[in-house]
Amino acid sequence: MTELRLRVDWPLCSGRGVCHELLPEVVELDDWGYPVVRGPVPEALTDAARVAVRWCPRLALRLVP
Amino acid sequence: MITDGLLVETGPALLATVDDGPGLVAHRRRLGPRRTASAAEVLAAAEAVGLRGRGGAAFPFAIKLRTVLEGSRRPVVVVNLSEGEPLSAKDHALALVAPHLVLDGALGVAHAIGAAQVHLALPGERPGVRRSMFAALAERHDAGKVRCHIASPRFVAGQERAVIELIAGRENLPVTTWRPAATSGVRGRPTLLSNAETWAQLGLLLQGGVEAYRQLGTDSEPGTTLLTVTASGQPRLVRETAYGVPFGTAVPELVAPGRAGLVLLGGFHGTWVSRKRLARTALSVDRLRQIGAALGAGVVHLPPAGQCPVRRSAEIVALLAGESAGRCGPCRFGLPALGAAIGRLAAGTADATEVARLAALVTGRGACAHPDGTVRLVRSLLGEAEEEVRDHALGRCSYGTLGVPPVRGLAGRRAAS
Amino acid sequence: MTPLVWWLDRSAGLVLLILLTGAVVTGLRSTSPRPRRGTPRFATLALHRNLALVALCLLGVHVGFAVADSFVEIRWWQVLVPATSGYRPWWVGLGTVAVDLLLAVVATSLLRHRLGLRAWRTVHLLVWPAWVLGVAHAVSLGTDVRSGAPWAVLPVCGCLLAVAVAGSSRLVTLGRPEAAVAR
Repeated sequence: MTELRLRVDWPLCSGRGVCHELLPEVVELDDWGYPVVRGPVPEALTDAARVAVRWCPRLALRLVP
Repeated sequence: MITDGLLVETGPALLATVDDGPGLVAHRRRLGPRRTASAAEVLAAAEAVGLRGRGGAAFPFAIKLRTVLEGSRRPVVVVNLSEGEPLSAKDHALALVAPHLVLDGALGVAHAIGAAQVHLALPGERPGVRRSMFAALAERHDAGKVRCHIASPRFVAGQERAVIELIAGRENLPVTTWRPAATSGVRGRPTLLSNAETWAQLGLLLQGGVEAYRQLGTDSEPGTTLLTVTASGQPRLVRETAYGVPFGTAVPELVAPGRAGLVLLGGFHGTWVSRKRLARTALSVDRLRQIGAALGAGVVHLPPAGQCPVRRSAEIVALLAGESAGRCGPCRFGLPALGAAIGRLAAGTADATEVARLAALVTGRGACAHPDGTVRLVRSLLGEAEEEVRDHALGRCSYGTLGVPPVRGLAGRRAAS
Repeated sequence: MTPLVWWLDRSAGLVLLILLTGAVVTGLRSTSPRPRRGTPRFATLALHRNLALVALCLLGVHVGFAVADSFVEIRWWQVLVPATSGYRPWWVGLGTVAVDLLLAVVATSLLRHRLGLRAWRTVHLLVWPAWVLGVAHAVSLGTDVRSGAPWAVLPVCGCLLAVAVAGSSRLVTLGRPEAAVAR
């Protein structure tokens, strides 16, 4: 099973933090509200990661192998 | 030779024609008529000499070329002359002294790979480069489809994706890359974007052949590279050096009296290195990696003896924070915060804990490597200037800077945003 | 039969306006920076989406009843093409344009990941004229509003007020970088 990673499209991201709300295990927030992705997405959280990608209001998140 | 505020020394290969002038006639007289090659020949030659990019990342050119050739669409060639690193002047020198070598390389390879377009990214703030390249293009008969673009006068404008954005008619700033430029760059085409010096090296390789190229340098790293030697109060010097030569020989200024203990190698996105250790090290990508340094854009910056590296680093970080494109949160907010933290260290009011924390926080987050380059500088300070950093944490400075009000960073060359 | 259908049509219209206003307000709230405590953003976003979808259903009901009602002459295709209905073409037309705009907004929202942020956002701004046209349609055409019935007038005023408040709050924060304010 290939590892999936969450990648941020940085010029689009405006630090709304919805990704952190939906997937706090993988996405933390830095001092200014921007996402810090901690490691690859565990298999059990893949669906939650897809939800986070879908709900980013700035379409700034992608799940890539 | 002094030209456009630079001192350009005659060199063994790239800079051999310094005294002949930049004209096409003299160039052809020296190197012969333009040779054509096939894509396979170019690839073989690049692999035979282990040609690495001269833009700062030292990426093997053959791998990039191979990726481009694997694409299904007709590729695009881009010559990056924008030289965003402020201390660097090697591309500037090449444009003034050997523009046709750069163009031979770019147009020769473009012809070999069947490129659909050839683009030239020129620096906004170095008009001498523009003039020289326009004159060189006008002299040639094979430069019909070369399109020129003027990059904005800021550091990040020279970044690979920023250049591709410029060519595509959008703002000259980096965007997040989902696929490498060699796979999908200008309008989705496989894009062979390289630094001007890389193209000049290819020009040399195509015109002179692999055997002649291998006459200089070492077996594992053949050829030469361009260095920009800078010291305050002196015009910048561009010098060509063969690989393998000890730094102390290649850059005698390193061992001249009146120099600080630490030098900055690679420019503002480079690393602080002990002057003495560097002088003993051979000019080699691998050897430098072993001592935790990198050639980067080929800048050797020699601060004067009385300058405090902590203070100087704080000034540089302040400048780099000002050069942020302001698009990506971690850079837009993180670099000024890092600047403030290192400023407090320089002022003797805090230790390096916050500096280290913020450095780790901004690394690898952003559309380009501007934060990463800045962090590289900061981490090299913490590693190489341990004593000075410790002193500052305790509110002391052996260079006597404390008690002197901090300088508000070099005025950034940032265009109005 | 007809007065009931007519009444249902008007009620659906009123509730639709309230729900649509709710969608507009939650949409505005999801963008403005605010402290991390309180309703998490994904909840506001989910509420925004759900209100919009329920409003869309009610829109279908409202339009359906209007067509079905034999008292007024509105054919089904006249729902989408403005100013062509037999009954009060211009005022109905306002609603028609609103329907068209809302359909465009919903379609692009469902496809936003394919369209990219810029395209999606540009179309999404069409909710503004859609909402304004909806209010104008309700006020100009709405029998109950025009007759001054408080159960109709008060909600409409409430909608106007809610959007005015949420909108001006959003205007104030429009230029500021979101994250810096949020912390």
